[in-house]
Amino acid sequence: MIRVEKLDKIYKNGVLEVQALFEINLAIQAGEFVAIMGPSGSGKSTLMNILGCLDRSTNGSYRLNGVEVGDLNDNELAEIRNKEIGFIFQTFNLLPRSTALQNVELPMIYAGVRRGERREQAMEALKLVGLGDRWHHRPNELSGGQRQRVAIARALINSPDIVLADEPTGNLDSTSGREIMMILQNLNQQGITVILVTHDEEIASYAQRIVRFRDGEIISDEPVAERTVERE
Amino acid sequence: MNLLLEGARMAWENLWNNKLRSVLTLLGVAIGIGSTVSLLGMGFGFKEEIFREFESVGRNMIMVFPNIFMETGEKLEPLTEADRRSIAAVCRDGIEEIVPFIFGDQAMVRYLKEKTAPQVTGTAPGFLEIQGLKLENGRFLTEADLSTGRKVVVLDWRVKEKLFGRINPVGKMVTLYGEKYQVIGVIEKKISSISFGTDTNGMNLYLPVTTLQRVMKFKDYYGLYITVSSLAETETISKMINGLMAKKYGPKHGFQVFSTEELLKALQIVTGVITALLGMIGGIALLVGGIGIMNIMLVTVMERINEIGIRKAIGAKNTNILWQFITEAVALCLLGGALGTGFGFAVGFFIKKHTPLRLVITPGLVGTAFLFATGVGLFFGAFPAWKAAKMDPIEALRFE
Ligand SMILES: Nc1ncnc2c1ncn2[C@@H]1O[C@H](COP(=O)(O)OP(=O)(O)OP(=O)(O)O)[C@@H](O)[C@H]1O
Ligand SMILES: [Mg+2]
Repeated sequence: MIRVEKLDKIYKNGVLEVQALFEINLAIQAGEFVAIMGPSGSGKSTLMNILGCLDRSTNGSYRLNGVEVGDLNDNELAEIRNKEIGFIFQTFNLLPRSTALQNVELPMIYAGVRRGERREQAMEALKLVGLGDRWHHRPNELSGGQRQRVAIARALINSPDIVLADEPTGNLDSTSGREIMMILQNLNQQGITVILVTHDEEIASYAQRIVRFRDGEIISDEPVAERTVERE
Repeated sequence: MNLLLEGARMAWENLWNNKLRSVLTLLGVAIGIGSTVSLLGMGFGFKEEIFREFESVGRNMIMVFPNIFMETGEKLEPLTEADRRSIAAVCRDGIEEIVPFIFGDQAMVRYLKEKTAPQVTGTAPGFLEIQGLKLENGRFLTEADLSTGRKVVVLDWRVKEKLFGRINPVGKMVTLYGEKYQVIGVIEKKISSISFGTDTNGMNLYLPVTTLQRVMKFKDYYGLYITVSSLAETETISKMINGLMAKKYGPKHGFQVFSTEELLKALQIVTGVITALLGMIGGIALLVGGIGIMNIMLVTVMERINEIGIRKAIGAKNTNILWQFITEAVALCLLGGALGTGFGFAVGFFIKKHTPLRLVITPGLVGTAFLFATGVGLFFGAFPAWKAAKMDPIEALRFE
């Protein structure tokens, strides 16, 4: 499903160049649950942004479902972000002035779904993350965990194949973090590929496989020995 | 279509969330559109007024006046009865009627204890039609009045009001130039701001030209109004009269010969220029409003970089973002346009009520105003929207 070969990412700020990724090779099959770990600045977010089609690599190849992403134009990338990938951020990235429902609806607007249908589906998605009664609240009226659940509902609303979560529990306490991980594990059990960045070994243990980074390179890639499996 | 509607809804929500700012910004456009609408309306009103006036007078009229703007040294020549005859003879076919006139000395006219000092004009039948005036009561001067030099007067409504109040003056005797004159008619109020030769805002009193000639010991005329049977002939006849005067008094003769048609053409150019200038003033106000829109849209885009990043991250295309901000700018301008048009109507109403001017605000003008408002939104919204649309999603998301 995801195949990355000899991927480089170089950030250029004027004359200053920072190479964030060095010849990364990585393959992820459909239905996998992968955790990416590594010290700060090791390039995890950089890779996630490229995988999520938010950013482009400098060299190398990224094939998503057999399509070379580097060859796609901005509109085609937007289409992929809209329909095939759901992104979850550490800082939630909800529209502050919109209600939970409106936030969840947003990807459907760009997918061209009609208003009535949108409402219905967004409500449904909010119920699934346990926020059916909070649909009219704005982000600042919700707790961190609740905000992240809204963000998850938004990521899932167009039924993507892949969910990318960059430190989704980074701003949450351990209880809320566990709730989020439970939801992600559930999604994975339904067949969605989940890729997760975390600094927390306990959080990483929800995954099936851990890829470790250091200084822009993969230093290890192995299955999780003792997997945490939460049951509701 | 769906996205179009969504764009409008999102634009509305955002404008609503920033009510005060939106109102202040759209006020700029409102003032621009409002002043354009009212200034152009004023120009159109002026134009229409002139047309109406010419319609009531008839466009096939020629006026022969002594030139009051003569250079020094030239002598003011009166028009003689011989001139009148030769004009009548030369242009016999085209001319319908020649109405001469002279002005009398300023004099008091009295009825019982009331008195007033109107402009006294001696003239002939046909004068009323030429001036576009109507009788309220009685009759106007007739050939019989002229041929015998009868001592009869026609009053305009102001003189009548002053001397007689609500009494019907027809048949009553007034004193003028130390003699008794019988009132034979009253001219009704004319709603107009322009006229030919007489002051419609002043007081007027008319008597047979022959009678006034006798009183003034003056055997000539001040000027002639000539009506021509068809509009097409007006210009040739005007030229013929000019030639006639030149032959008799020399090429630099002190007479002005001009037709209403010529006058109308000249006035059309003048009013066109005035209207264009008024429109330009409005346009400048609109431009200032537009720059205000651009400014506030740039601020909005800067404030919402994160939002742009979020929208792009979840699948908004560049065109979606572009459209979103352009819709917002256009919505602001349309609201401003609506407010401005209302403001224009209010100004028009006020002007109509308190001044003799009139504003003509046509549906076409309102439509154009809205078209312009949209144009301003598109034009001044385009750059900020384009800036928003081309943002890199990652940089936008990271922006603090
Ligand atoms: N836009 C940018 N311009 C320049 N350098 C950048 C940019 N984004 C990231 N970098 C650099 O690239 C390297 C990798 O950054 P990245 O954000 O991928 O790290 P990370 O592994 O996600 O770290 P953290 O765990 O702190 O989130 C860092 O050295 C960082 O300074
Ligand atoms: Mg990171």
